Amino acid sequence: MKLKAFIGIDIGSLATKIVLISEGRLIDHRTERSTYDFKRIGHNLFDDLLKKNDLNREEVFLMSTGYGRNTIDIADDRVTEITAHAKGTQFFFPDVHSVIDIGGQDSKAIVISKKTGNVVDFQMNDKCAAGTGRFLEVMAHALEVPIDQFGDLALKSNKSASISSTCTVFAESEVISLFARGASKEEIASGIHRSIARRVAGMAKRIGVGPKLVFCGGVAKNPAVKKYLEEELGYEIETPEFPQLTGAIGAALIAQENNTN
Amino acid sequence: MDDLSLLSDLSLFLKEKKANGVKIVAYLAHDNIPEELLDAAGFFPLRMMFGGNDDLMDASHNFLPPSTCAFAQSCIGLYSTKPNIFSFLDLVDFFIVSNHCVSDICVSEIISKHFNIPRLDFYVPYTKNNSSLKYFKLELLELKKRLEAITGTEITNEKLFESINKYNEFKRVLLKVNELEILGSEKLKVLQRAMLYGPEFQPDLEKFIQYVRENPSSLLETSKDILFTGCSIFVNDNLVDLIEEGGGNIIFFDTWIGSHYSSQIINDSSIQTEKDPLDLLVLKFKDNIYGDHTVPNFLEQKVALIENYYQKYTKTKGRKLGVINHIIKFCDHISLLSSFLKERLQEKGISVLNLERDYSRANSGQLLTRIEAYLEMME
Amino acid sequence: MSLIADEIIQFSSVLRMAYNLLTGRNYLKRKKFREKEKLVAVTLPFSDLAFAAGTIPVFPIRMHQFEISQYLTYLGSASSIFGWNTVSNFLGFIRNLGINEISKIVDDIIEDVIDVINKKYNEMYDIGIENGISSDFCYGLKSLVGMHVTKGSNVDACLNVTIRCSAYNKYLESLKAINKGPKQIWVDIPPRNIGNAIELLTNNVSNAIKEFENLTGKTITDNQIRDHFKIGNQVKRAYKNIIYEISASDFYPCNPATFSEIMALLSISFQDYNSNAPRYRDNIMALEREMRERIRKGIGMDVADRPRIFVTPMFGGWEPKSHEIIYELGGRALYADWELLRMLEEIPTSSHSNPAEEYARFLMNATETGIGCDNDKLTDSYLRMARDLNADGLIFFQLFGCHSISNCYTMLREKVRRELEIPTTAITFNKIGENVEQVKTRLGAFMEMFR
Repeated sequence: MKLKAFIGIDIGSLATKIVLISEGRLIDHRTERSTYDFKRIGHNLFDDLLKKNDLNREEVFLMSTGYGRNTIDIADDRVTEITAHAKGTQFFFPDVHSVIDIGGQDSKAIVISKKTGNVVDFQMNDKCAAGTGRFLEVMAHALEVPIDQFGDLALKSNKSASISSTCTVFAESEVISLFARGASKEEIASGIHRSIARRVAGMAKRIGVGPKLVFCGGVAKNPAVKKYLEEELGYEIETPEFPQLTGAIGAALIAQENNTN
Repeated sequence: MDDLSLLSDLSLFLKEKKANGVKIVAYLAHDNIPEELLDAAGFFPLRMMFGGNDDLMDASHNFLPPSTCAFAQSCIGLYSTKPNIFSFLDLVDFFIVSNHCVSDICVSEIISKHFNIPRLDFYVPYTKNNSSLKYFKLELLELKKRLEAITGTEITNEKLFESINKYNEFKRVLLKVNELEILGSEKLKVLQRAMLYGPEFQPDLEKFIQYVRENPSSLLETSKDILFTGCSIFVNDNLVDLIEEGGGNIIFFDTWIGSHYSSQIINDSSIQTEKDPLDLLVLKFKDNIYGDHTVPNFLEQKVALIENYYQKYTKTKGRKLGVINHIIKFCDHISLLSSFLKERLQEKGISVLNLERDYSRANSGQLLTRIEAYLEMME
Repeated sequence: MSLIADEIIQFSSVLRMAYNLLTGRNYLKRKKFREKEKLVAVTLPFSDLAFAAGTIPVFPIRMHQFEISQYLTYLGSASSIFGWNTVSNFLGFIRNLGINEISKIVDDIIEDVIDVINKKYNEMYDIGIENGISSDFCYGLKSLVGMHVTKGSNVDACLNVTIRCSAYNKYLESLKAINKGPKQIWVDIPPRNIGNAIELLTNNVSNAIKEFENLTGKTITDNQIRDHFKIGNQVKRAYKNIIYEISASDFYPCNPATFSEIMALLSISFQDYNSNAPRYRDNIMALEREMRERIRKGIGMDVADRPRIFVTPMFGGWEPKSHEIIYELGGRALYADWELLRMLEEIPTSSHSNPAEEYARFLMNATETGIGCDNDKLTDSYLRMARDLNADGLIFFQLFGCHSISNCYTMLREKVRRELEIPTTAITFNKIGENVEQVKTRLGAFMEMFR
């Protein structure tokens, strides 16, 4: 049976994203918070997407990516989120040179070949949580600020408290001592965002990232991280319309490429 | 399961040695310990080449900070927790403290001190100029004297020549294993077993090589070929399985467990002409281009070796070859030069994955992602 | 900080040293481009050989432009006309009159010197990580890589002396990968003094001297080498006197925080003598004189009731706020790393001896009885130093990523408790300014043991 559409599912540690692509166009997408049961969420999202778009299982090709890519047994094939993000960002920005993806579990920097569009180098954070979405979550919790308002709060301050700890646990105690010294919530929030930007930019510079650089992943929705990343890197960076979807879109596009020739 | 059987076989093997009155000398240092001298003195050289896990690393923190080489941490963990399969460590009579790297010094010193194993010192210079080579001989003489004092027997030149020849022949056979076209995991198991047992394993090794030559494998075409460099994969570490799970196959181990050890063969003409066998060991030290302990030309030599292998392999096989540089977290030697190695090789069009990790099992998901992403890059 | 500034202006020698340290870039540019001298990168106190061989050693951070306020430049200019003592006395006089503007300037002097250096160190640390060194290594190595990435191409050679730290030796190897230009001159110190090891090390030192001769195009005579060693010996004598006769005494020429600040400055600047050995010798000897003069006049502070806290190691990176915190908690911080590592031993200069051999003996002694090749020897050095300083407590800075010195702490703690029976604690350190609050808490708890 001829394939009518290509579905990419990106199972991240904090959120699961699914997209449907047909003839190179983004038709539909869903995002849901990941729980311990990656498999069930994946199945539910997939079934829902098929149903809403009036498609049968045989008419689509499912490519999984992300932290839980191997847990979803209905996938036809798998690809890592590194390759998927590289491909997905090219959907929005065909001339992209580099990608920074900050997800819940880890952060990555990717350099793409201008000639082939393929990944030529990448770097991931080590197992430490600093420089990831998790770091922001822990810090937002310590400041008692909802995560979706955290970046805006940081941008309200024109000075940043110095957060020098590279460890999440130490940084949390540093935040508490900053409070004790009378620093404002905005200043501390700004310091936290600067700290994550500095760490990720440092990692990215090591593999020679450059413009045009696309910032994606869930954290790309945070305006403070974007602003401070630009300051650290020294140039403007782009954010796609759906930054958290680039992995899933990339997976779907790879499925399309692999199955149309 | 393979590792369990290897360790249990080793345990029996060492018990038998002890029962026959052979003393066991253990050490961590990779390249420079003169096993021929230990063998000539009637000792059995036991290399500590066992990988770790979370429990072993945690157990070391009573002695060393967590920012210590993960392999070194695990070695202390083995001694402080002594898991059943490693009970053979109780059989060790002496521990060599050497300065291969500073973590080696600390760990062997701690093992010797806290677990009451008499200590032998063997220190090596960092460079290989004439003075350093002369110094290396001084250390050999010191160790020889110490071993003779322990056994009360002289290590004759004849005995030492015999041991040198024995290890030479063994390494010649071992060298062939790395060239075999078999699964990387299978190759690694053979290399590990051989290096643990030493020349006594040579007949089995020859049989194995013969068997593989008569029964070539046809399962390797779909996987991606990898040259594996950096830190060795030690016994009880599943990294090779992860690489194979991701779709890769290590075709060449450019590591101590692999070509670095087996290439240290003393040429026959030197053996025939040299009067003092200790000078042959000095020569081996001098010619060891793989010794990551040494400065200042280690990096250049490593780049040249990998580049040569890469060019030859891609030309003769017509297949792509990836390079994984394995960095055990907090390893001084491999880690410090890793970004420079990668940069140099990439300038020559050879892509490299710097795979940094410790022995934590929780990290294996991310490790697999990095391996798979690199293999995808090779497509 | 004002308390420290009040004191420090009394020592014009300290002002001079600080000025020379921070304005090294201009001095070095003059030496390199106008006087065609050869610059040699050195780390740790191995500069004697480079000086003796007729080159200009430089601890690489000093090639940077430091963000110092104009006034320090003015002070420098004024001093060239009126002399440092006059400038210093003038500042002290104005300060005593309570003129706020000037008072502020004086406060800023010490802030500039210490904070500016630390800020630059942290900047180098970040650059090091961005340019190849894994974040797993210690503060010192990360910063050194940053220094060579940014300014290393300005030197003509690097003097690479191997020590027990394998990461440090590999960092030395990486220098030619960072900058292809500078010549790499190696001195490999045998790990132990066995057999004719001294003779072999002498060969290595002689070969290094030959390489220096090739670099400069000049022949170096034994007398030239001895001449420098004599200057070096004077520096070391003064430094030792300050450590043993003043820092270990019960009356300080200033408050203990200022004193520690001065010792920290000496620790940094001793590595390359601020690139000018006679000038540095004059300054450190003047400092000793100034200190003794104040003590003789009874100016300073009775510190008999303040516990002596030996703070170590500091050369690979330590929290510079420590001595101020210890001072506020009623103690005094003593720094003596180079003496502990036997780097303050004098080198014999008799006309009958071979200076290369004497230097080899100096290096071997530092290896055998200072840093050691194993932790037994290293921890013995700590014990000896703590005893010699009559220390009441020991604070050990355990550097994240340091596998050489930091790893000895378990053994050291056990030995200190058993043999010295004084309190000891380890403070983890990653980067200057990081976790100062935690350092305060730890030091607070530690100092309570002396109440």
